[in-house]
Amino acid sequence: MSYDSVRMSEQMDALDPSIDEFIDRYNTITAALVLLGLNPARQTLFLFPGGMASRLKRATKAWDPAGPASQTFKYKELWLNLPTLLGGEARQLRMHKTPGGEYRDKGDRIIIADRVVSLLSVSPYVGFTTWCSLKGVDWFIFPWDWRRNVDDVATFFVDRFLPHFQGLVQAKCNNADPLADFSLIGHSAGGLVVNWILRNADPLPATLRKVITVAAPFYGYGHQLHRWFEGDDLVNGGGLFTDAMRRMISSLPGCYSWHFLPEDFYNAHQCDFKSDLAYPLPNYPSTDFTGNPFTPGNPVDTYDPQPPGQRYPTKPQTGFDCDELHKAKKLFDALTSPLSTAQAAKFVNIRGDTTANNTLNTTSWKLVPPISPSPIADTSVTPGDGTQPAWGTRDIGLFKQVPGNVLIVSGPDAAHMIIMNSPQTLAHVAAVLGIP
Amino acid sequence: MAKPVTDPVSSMTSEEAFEFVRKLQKAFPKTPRSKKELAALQKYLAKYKDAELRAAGSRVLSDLMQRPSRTIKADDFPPAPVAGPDPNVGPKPKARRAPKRTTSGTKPRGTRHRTKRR
Repeated sequence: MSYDSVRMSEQMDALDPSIDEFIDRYNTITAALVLLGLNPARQTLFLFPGGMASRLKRATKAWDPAGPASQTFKYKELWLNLPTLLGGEARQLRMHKTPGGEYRDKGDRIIIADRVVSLLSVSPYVGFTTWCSLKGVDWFIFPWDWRRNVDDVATFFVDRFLPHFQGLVQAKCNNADPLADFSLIGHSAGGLVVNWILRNADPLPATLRKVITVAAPFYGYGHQLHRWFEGDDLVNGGGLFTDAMRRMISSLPGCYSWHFLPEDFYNAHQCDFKSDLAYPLPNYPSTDFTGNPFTPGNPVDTYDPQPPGQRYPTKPQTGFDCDELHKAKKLFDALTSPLSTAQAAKFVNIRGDTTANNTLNTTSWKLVPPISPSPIADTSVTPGDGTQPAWGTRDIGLFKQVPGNVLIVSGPDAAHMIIMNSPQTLAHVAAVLGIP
Repeated sequence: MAKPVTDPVSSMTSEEAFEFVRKLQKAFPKTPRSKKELAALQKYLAKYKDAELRAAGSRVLSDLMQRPSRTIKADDFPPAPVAGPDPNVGPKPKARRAPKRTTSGTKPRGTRHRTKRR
C-alpha cells in the first residue's frame, strides 16, 4: 500500500473512537426521548474546526515502503501542546513532495488529525458542542489535517468518511440513518472545506440541509503573507528557528490558499466589494510599497505578483513553491465558482465583527531580496473578528442571490477564536437549522 | 484612567502571552521528551495559578489561529481609504502591469515603511 493509502487508513482508524462517542450520545438521547415519550426529528451536525484547531498526531516511527500492506503505528501529539512551542518542535509539521506529487510528512512519519487542540486546558469548541448536546443535536467534530489542501480533506470526508460513519452508526443505533438529515458547519478555514463540499459534491445530497460557514476566509487575509517571510513569533524561539519555521510553513500546501484573493477576482467583483454597505473593501488589499502605502497604490496580486521573482522567497531560500501557488489559484476559483440556486439555498455565512475595529486589513509589499526583514507591512485596520476582515467572510455570490443567508455576529464575543461559542452565533445556527 | 473592557478571549494580552511563551522557551531550550524533562515542565508550570495558565492558553491559541501575536488597535494606522480609484470592472489585462523594476529604484532603507511591532 502507498504512503497515502496507509495514512488515510490510519486517519480513519483514529476517527473511530469519536464515532463511538457519537453513537453513545445518540443512543443516550434516544433512550431519554423514549422515557419522555417524545419522538422529535433528529439531525446531525458535522463541525469542521478552524485551520490549526485540529489536533495533529505524529507516528513514532516511519512508514516502511517495503513493509506489509497493513502497517499500523503509535502516535504522539505534535500539534498542539506546550512542547510544540519549545525547541523548534513545530518543525516536525513539515511536509515534502515526492516526484509524483504526493505530499508526505517529515521523515515519512505519518501525521493524522485527531480531535480538537487543547492547550493549558483550553479548547475552542466546548461551548458549541455543549449547546448542541443540550439542544439534542447529534454533533460530530470532524478533525482535519489543516496542512493539506481543503479539496483533499473534503474528498476524504465525502468519499471515505461519510459512508464509514453512516455504516457504523446504523449498525449500532438500531439502523438509524445519521445522514437522513444532516448539515455541515465550518469555522474559519473549516468553512473552506464545507464550501468545497457544497460546490463540488455531485450530486449534492438531498438530505444535506445546510452548509454554514462561520468566520470563513473566502477572500483571504493579510497575515499569511507575513508568515512566508517571518514564520510565527510563537514558535520561532526568539529567532532561533525562524528559518526552519518559514521552511515548514512553505512546505504546507494548505497555506497557499489562505492569503488575499486574486486581483482579477477583485477587479471583476469590485462593485460588490465596494457596495457591501457594512463592510466595504474599496481597493485591492495588497499593494506595492512603492509610492504611498497608506493610500491605494499599485495592486500586487498575491497569486501572480509582479515583477516575477521579486515578491516571494525563492525555493532555495525557504522552499516557497510557486507550483502550489498556481494550484491554490485553481482552488480559489473552485471555491468561488457560481452557486446554483439549490446550492445558494443551502448556504449560510456568518461573519464576525468585534466592533473594536481591530482586524488587520491591507498590506504593502516591498520587493525581494532581501526576504529579511519582512517585505510585508500592515497598513490599515478594518472591522472584523480580530483575525478575519468582515469583508472577506461572506460569499459574494451568496450575498447577491440570498442576502438573508449572510448573517452578522457583533460585539466582543465575535472574536475569531470564540465566535463559535457566541450566543449570537448559536442563535443564528438554531434559526437556520430549525432548532427550538 | 478607565479600566479597559474585559476581553472575552483572555485576560492576558498578546504581548503578555508572548512573554509567557518566551520565558518558557528560555527555560526549556530543547523540546522536553523524557519523563524527567516533562516533569520539569510541569514543575515550572506549577509556579502559575490555574487562571493564569488558562489565560495564557486562550491567548496563545487565539494568536496561533492565524492572527499576529500583538494587540491590534484602530489608532495603530490611519483610517482606511473609503473611496478607491475609478471603477474598473473586469479582469485587469496583464499588459497593464507595471514594468519590471529593480531594487535599485526603491527608497533608501532608512525611509522604508516598517511593520509596526509592539
